[in-house]
Amino acid sequence: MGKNILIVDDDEMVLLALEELLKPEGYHIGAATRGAEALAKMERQVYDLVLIDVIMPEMDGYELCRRIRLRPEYAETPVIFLTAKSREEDRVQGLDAGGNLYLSKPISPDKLLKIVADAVDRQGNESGSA
Amino acid sequence: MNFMLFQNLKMTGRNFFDSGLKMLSASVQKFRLLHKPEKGLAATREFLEKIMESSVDGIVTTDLRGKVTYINRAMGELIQYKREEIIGRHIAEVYSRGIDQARDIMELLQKNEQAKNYEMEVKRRNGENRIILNSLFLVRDAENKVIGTAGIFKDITEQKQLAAKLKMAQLHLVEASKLRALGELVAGVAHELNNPLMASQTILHLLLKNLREDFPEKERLTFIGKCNDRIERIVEHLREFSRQTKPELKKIDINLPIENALLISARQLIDHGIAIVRQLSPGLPKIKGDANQLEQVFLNLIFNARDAMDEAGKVKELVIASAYEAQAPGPGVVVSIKDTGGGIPKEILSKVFEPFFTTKPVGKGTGLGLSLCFGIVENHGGRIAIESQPGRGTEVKVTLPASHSEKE
Repeated sequence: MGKNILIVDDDEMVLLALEELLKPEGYHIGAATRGAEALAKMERQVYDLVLIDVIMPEMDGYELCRRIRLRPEYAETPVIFLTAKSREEDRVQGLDAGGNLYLSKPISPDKLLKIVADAVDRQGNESGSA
Repeated sequence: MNFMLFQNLKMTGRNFFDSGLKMLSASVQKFRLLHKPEKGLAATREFLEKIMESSVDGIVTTDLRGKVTYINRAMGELIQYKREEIIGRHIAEVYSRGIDQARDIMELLQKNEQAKNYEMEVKRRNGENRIILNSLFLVRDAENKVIGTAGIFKDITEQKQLAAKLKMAQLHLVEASKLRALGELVAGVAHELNNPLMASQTILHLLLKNLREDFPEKERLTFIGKCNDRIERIVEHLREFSRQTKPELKKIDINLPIENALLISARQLIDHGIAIVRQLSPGLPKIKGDANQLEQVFLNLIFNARDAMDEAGKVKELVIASAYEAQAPGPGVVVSIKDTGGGIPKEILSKVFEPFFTTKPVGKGTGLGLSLCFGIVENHGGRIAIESQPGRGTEVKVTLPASHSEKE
């Protein structure tokens, strides 16, 4: 069964491209351009992976990640930051907020696909064995 | 009370008057003395000589042929010759520009009788040049016939050096603040470009993946991909440039980042036919530096040297040296990277640290390399300076403050 992935990015160009990239791989894609919108979607649907941009208006990616982690059902869900901020301190901040991985834009599509597949698989295996 | 005050005043007034009277009579006596024929002449001479000898500025007289007839104590100290050594010799011998300088001065004096605030250089016994502000005039006898020249030499070397240093420091500051402002702008631009770039690359990737092998426009799509790759490299370079965060300062041996930079570049340099001459001093005082950032600086400088020699060098030699220097602007470790390339023309030497300034062909350089070096060295509290002789090569010197004056 296809896994559910939520992509949160205020840039619709990026959202569209990522959707196009991931859909053919069999994933179900949810998309949000704001943190609040993402949180609302996560209440209605359980996602297996969340991809988050950092710089967004209203609520930034770090804050969104912290709020996601407050929900028990999302305590173990892989959260990947995908952002143009690539300084070491940004990376640290992202991991502090509860993210599992911190990727810099632009990233090659093949690499992203592999990372997403690995993260979703690991998640699936862990919950399967638990 | 009033009476007392009056008395005091009177006393003071009288004392004043008395001492004035004494001074006056002394002067009168001196005046008389001066006007006694023989004795007077000797006294006048002594009097004038005393003034000349006490002067802090150098005083020189010459005869009509330019032979030195007199120098005062200060002049002797200035050029570091004893009086008896220099008297009778031509004044041009102490001019840095030699006889040409003497001719220029003579020409000036013949035209204007005198020259004020004339700037020139004199050469000390040990060859050191001193910058002089000069007042010159013709000396005439009682019949108003010119019998020689006289000059008052003021040593302004220190002032000049200080002024130059100040100007350098100002330029440095302006450059540094320009760079900071630009860093922020560039970071913003790079960030904004990344999103559409990533979208474009992703979609293109999908297009190419799903394309039939014989699709006629495949080559053109691949070309767009190459354009994207180039944009990505430029953006990456811009980000690198803007990522000039505070260095993580640790006590390190400066030779470490140099060795690392050489490790990465040596193979390439050899492939380009460049001989590497290492002159790294062992046991240098440690500096406080970020080894990664400094490695980047040296790597940039090495590659600049390589490019310069590729273009022009017949003999391709890269000399990379490190040494300790105790002199001003403070004890520090100096790294020198010297090439035998075509050099940098004087008119662009002042621009090389400017962001986006490049002489490299399109696609080869973004013009940010030296700016980046400048920023990193600046963040380390150091200095970077370039000397270049067109046709002969360029030397870049990076000076970093020693973390302790462990070496005296």
